[in-house]
Amino acid sequence: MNLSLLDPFAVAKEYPESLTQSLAYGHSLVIQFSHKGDYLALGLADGSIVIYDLVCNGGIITHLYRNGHLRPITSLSWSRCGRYLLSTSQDWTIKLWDLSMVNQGDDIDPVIRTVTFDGPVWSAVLHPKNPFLFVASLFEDSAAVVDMTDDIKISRLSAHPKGQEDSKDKHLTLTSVFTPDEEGSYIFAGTSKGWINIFDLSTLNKVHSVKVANANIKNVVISPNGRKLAVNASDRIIRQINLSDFINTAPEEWEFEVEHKYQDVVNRLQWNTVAFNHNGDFLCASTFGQLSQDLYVWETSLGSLIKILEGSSEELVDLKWNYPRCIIGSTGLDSGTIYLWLVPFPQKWSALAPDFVEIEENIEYEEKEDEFDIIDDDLLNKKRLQEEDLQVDVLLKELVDARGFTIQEAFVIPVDYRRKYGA
Amino acid sequence: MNPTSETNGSTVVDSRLYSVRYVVQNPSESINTVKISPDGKTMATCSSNGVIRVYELASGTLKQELRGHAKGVSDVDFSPINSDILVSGSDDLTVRLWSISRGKCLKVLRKHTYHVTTVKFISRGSILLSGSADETITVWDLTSGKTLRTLSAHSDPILSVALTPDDTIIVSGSYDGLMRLFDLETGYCLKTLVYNSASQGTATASTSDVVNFPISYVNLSPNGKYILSSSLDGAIRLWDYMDNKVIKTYLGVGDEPNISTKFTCETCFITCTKTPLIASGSESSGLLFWDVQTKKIVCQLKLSEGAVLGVTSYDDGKVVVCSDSNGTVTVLDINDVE
Repeated sequence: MNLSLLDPFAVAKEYPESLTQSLAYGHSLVIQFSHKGDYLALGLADGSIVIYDLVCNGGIITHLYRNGHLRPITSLSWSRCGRYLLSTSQDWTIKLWDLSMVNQGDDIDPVIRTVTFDGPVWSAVLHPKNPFLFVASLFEDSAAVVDMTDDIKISRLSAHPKGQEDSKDKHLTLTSVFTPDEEGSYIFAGTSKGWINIFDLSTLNKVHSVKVANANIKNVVISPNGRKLAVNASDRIIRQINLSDFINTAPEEWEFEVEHKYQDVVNRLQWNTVAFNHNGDFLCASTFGQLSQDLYVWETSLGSLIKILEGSSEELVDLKWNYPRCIIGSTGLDSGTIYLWLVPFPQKWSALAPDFVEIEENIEYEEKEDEFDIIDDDLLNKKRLQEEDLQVDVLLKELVDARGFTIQEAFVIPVDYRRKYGA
Repeated sequence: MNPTSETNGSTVVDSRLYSVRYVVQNPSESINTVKISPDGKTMATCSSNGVIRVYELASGTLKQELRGHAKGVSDVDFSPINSDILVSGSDDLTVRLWSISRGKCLKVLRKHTYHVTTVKFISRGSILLSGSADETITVWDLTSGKTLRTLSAHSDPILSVALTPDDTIIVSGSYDGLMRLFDLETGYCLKTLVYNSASQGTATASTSDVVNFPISYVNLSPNGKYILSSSLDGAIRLWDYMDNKVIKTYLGVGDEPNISTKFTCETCFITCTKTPLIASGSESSGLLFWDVQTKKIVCQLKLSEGAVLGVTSYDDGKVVVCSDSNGTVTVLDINDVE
């Protein structure tokens, strides 16, 4: 509700512009914003997870380390409802945390599922609807879809392109994501040979394969509205692909035409991580190497670079976009500090004195005809009472906020009121 | 103690909207406020002698007495996410965080330099607001114990703070007659509302010849779009804060149009009835209920001689509890809604 009282030009900004905050708590490797944008989870190099409350730039709500990971965290994924958090680590395990059980005392263990593999885990993503289903990409191993609803059921996804299942080439899945539709109908998996394999979640069959690059695919990102795909490969190019309507057309008919290629032709930079904004109109990427310490933001319809986010003094690795709050967060490689870019709102001094207005330039004041007329009190009262006759609805709530996001009820992590400060 | 029927001009004021479930009495104390826990099991009262009492809501049995404040306690608030946690603000300059089950004070928050008049949790329970007669509002982060921000934009004691349901705007009411809206995140003042009888009720000039009556209590409509303000000129006003406009004015019963000119009488919204109602305590007319739309008093409950100070509702108003300056706490149940 505050947004509707703030400067509309600032509210309408579609990407953040200024580095306003850095969070330093241990050495963070990966970050993830909750879907409502109210929490930020950090995965630390010591295997623990820290959750910040972003409302009012609040403090650390919880630090998850008991029964946690023993080696650095490699990825984090929130459930849509905000209650569950999935973490993957180099210690070969994936853990699902029930955040309603944190801060309740030492005898309650918030880790409700642990899945152990035969090697380190690159990353894992929770299904959009079912917080007990995820897809994981594994080091030197084929990707896995894991259903943890009752017992743990692991299904493997082969990395060979469709129709080449018998080839002798070694294909490895390096990254995998669900499509962002309600059902998470398909899985997009990027391989070490530049292929994208698409699996139907209901049957786990490979329905389509397409070669997009001649190098490792490091990230596959689908915009939250499902329209655009960005593929970050180690050949220093980010390819932006328009996606077909994957709900209403058959997988065989899908086309993968590269719409734009983003590369830095001068410095020949590799890209660490890419992320879309909520409607896929903007794409942001962090750059590899000590030369550059910036984030690049492109406009995706024309493919032009529109902003370089500067201010950090180290190479940036992980990169996430907080849609409802319009924040870009990124982790520093050397110090593990989190940098947050956001839209600053100007202070309006006229808000303090309602009879003052801020004007750009002097205006000639024209006195209204009746401005200094003396009006009888009774008349005034009558007029006021008439004005008060209008219908008022004190119950109906707004469904979307000023930025156009649906206002959703989200899970609130319990607060440990007994915690001693400074400890 | 029995509710009595009274007439208000030509309209018959119904007193059968609510019936008394029980009454708790602590004579010789003024019960400043009463709150019901989010799980609906307990209620907490605070009084001018510094004692906080926690009762079982169903029976009125005293569950716990929380002692520690050296002076009177003006306000208490339950944590919205944990019914065991209560916060209190007192004239002894401190804000205290209590665990009810342990009967213990968990934390003492010191920052204010004069009486703490009001305390309020945000709905996530992690941040606390306290308003004080030292003219400031302090925003506390309970996860770190730090003060995130001090809002010092009023020029007189702050009597009440409220929050929009989405936790983004703080509304403050002060003795200087202003209501200010602050952005919780940045602490910036977003808007100032002032009622001025000479300007058609819109927010305009507050020059020296205009007296702004103190705002004693502010509350937000359930959807967060309107502010209900109680002013010590005796009226309650419903504001459309986007438009800077008073859209409804509520007055007391017939021969006593002033609701309160001395005390902070709390208000609450009742939404389980056919049309939404506003309930407010009053100085000498007991507990009053207005229809939001028609501004008519639909029910008056004169339960005691004292001024009704605290009013709170639970379950959309199916249960209403009020407290008064003579130490009486009354729990009311709604009669069948037609």
